[in-house]
Amino acid sequence: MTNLLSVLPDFDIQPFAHILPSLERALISTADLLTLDALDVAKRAQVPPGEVRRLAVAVVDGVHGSTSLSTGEGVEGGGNGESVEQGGDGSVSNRIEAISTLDDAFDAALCGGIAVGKLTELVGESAAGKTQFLLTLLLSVQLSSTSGTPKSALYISTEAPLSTLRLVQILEEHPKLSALPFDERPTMARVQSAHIHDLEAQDHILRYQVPVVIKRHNVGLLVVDSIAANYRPEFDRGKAKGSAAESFVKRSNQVTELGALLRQIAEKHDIAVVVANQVADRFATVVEPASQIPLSQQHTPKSQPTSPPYPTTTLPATTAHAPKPDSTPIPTLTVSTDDPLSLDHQQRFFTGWGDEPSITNLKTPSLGLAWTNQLGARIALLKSPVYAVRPYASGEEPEIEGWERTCRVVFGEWCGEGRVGFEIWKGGVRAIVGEEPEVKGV
Amino acid sequence: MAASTSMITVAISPAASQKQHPSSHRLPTVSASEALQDLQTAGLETISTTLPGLDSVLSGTIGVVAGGLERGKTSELWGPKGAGKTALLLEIAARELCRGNKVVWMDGASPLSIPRLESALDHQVNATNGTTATPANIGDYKKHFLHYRVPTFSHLLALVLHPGPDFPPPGATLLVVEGFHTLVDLDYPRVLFASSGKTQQQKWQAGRRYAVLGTLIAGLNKLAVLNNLAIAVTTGCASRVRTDSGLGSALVPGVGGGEWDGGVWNRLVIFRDFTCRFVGVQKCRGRILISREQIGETGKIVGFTIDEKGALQQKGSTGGPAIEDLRRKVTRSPIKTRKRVIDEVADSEGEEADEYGWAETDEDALTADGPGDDILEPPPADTAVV
Repeated sequence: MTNLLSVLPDFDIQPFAHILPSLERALISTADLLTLDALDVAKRAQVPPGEVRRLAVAVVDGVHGSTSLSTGEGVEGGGNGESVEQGGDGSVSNRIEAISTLDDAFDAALCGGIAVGKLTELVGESAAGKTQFLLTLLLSVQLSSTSGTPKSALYISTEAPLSTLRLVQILEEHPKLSALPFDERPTMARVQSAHIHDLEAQDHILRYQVPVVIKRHNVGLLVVDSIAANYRPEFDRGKAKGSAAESFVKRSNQVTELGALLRQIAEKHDIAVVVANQVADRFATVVEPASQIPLSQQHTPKSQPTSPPYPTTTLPATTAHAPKPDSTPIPTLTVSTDDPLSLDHQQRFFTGWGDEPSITNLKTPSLGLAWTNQLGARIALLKSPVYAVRPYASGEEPEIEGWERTCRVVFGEWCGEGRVGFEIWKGGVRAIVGEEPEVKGV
Repeated sequence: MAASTSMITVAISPAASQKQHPSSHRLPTVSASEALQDLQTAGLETISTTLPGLDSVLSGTIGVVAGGLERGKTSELWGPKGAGKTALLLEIAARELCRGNKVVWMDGASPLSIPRLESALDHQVNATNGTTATPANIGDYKKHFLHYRVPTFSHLLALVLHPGPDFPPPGATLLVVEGFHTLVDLDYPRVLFASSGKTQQQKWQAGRRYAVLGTLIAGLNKLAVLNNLAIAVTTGCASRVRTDSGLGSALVPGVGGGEWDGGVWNRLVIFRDFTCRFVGVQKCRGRILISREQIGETGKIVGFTIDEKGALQQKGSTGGPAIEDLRRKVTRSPIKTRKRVIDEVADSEGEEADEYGWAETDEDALTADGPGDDILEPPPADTAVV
């Protein structure tokens, strides 16, 4: 019953204080209490069954009382973190409450901005532009206010501390911020920052200290930069006991709990939580050439990803897009590969890298599938080198002239996918003018 | 199944069928011919999935007009993030709302974004009436959309297994539980079966995950039948290494277990590909097309795309009956039954040895868990006993 108070924070445990310790020793959780018969529970924990029944009834009543029911139209019970504005004729505003990115193209791709009450991830290689994006958000959140007081931001760093000089520069150079009158401008005073060194401190700070800071400073945005840093040394260390599989399962569970904690903070305090994440390289298997016959009749052998992986630079052009053959009289639908549910293939679509077969240089966000399942939205910042166009001597490496940066919304609970090209400048990040943001759909 | 539904409705609302004398303890009955007539006239009540190809795959037999999610049954939709599960369910829910029915939506992971519901209603009003939706219309439909936030697994269990008197509301045809796997994983995280030094309590706790899932699916099915609801549950995905075939990891449903799988009526996988998204039908009308051991198989697929407004468009499907891909069928070695050595056989004179081996099999059941649990469990019962 250790989770009883996290399930029902207002539950009065006094009348049951005599049986709760025995239930805990028998490792009976609240869910067990609700699914098992009272007699079974009583036998396991060696407590009187009548008391168990009373406790179960009290828990069910408590849950029914606390569950908030809302219709699509409005909120009756507790809130759900959205502002639903009702116009005079009963029309409802179509936007979810969000923190603007101070750039119209980015906001359009995100259907308004970074949603409040959700966990968003910003993932990219180093020097992709994540921190620039986050710094802009730290200033943008201050433009909204609750009951007259502008909101603050909380920046938790795990690697490099908050770069205050850059923050000042963005504040001075960004066109939308410098155009504001002085008293409405964001200030450095409303950006709180903290540093976390290791995993245990991370858990304690997020669970107990962050809620206090949120209330005290009217925080509207929590940024954690980056979330993966504290995990690496913990799990690279060779453990004496415990196999690799065990530590993998343990890490998955820890990551799941972290995700749940961050989402709970976002929802309960009605703030946006944005997390930066790192990437690792991944080698893609060659995409099987799509044959002209439907899936159920294919006989081509599968590719073997466990053999030494070879990069996709040698991918022939014919494998690109051809699942729907035009030459056959009956149009049949085929999947592009023999093994569509393999992790390798599906990673192309939920990581942000690889959803066109011709893309090389694939990256995978850290912390794996378990972390991906926790997110409300993933924004990937991709960069690819632009080579100088000039005659090269044989054997000379192509010279990198610059970087082409793209911001992709990979998935989102409130917005569809989309991509925007962008650049980093002294005022932060800005979408490249003239390139229409593609909003591909939900 | 429809016949038993009509029996049940008679049983719980006797006043509706005949006037009961208060002192007569009559058992309300329905004659077999009446029940058969009801069955023939009412037919199967299904909720269309808004993708005609998917409806026809789910209808199973050729000739049944309406296919889709059956009322009185539970369907599971799984797939990776961003594949389109919520989008599909929103369109289905919007369609039901447009037809005047109520929809109950439970959020497990994160609250639903209401603007998405509004744009789904927009499409469905267009599709059914051919007119554009006015804000007043949408407001009316939204009143019938009952939205519960279930922050923990215990909340879900209390709502489903011990429902309140007015839950689910009359007139509701669809119940959606979204993000179900996150709730389960938080309360009952996966454990490796071979973990060190477990006390008897810990072993018991390790097996609880699958037992609770079994109880829950039974409760969901009961709720579905008693209230004539179609229930749709989304479970995310997890990954499993495929050691047998030598291929890399593949995605598997986020929630597993023999009892859970046996209790679900339809299982659909929704995944993405380069050109469009796909729905694969892995279990249909209680018959398993692709069993849990065949990791990575999609089953019969129907393609669809989602445009920028969120509307779903079908893109063709694999016609014809579902053919199981035999060459990729994973062959399992037969499960060895524990054989006792000759000199262990108990004498009839009071030997301590457990005559039927019950204690040993109990141990097996308790420790069979964790990521490898699919391999240790016997294959689930394929046909659901209706």
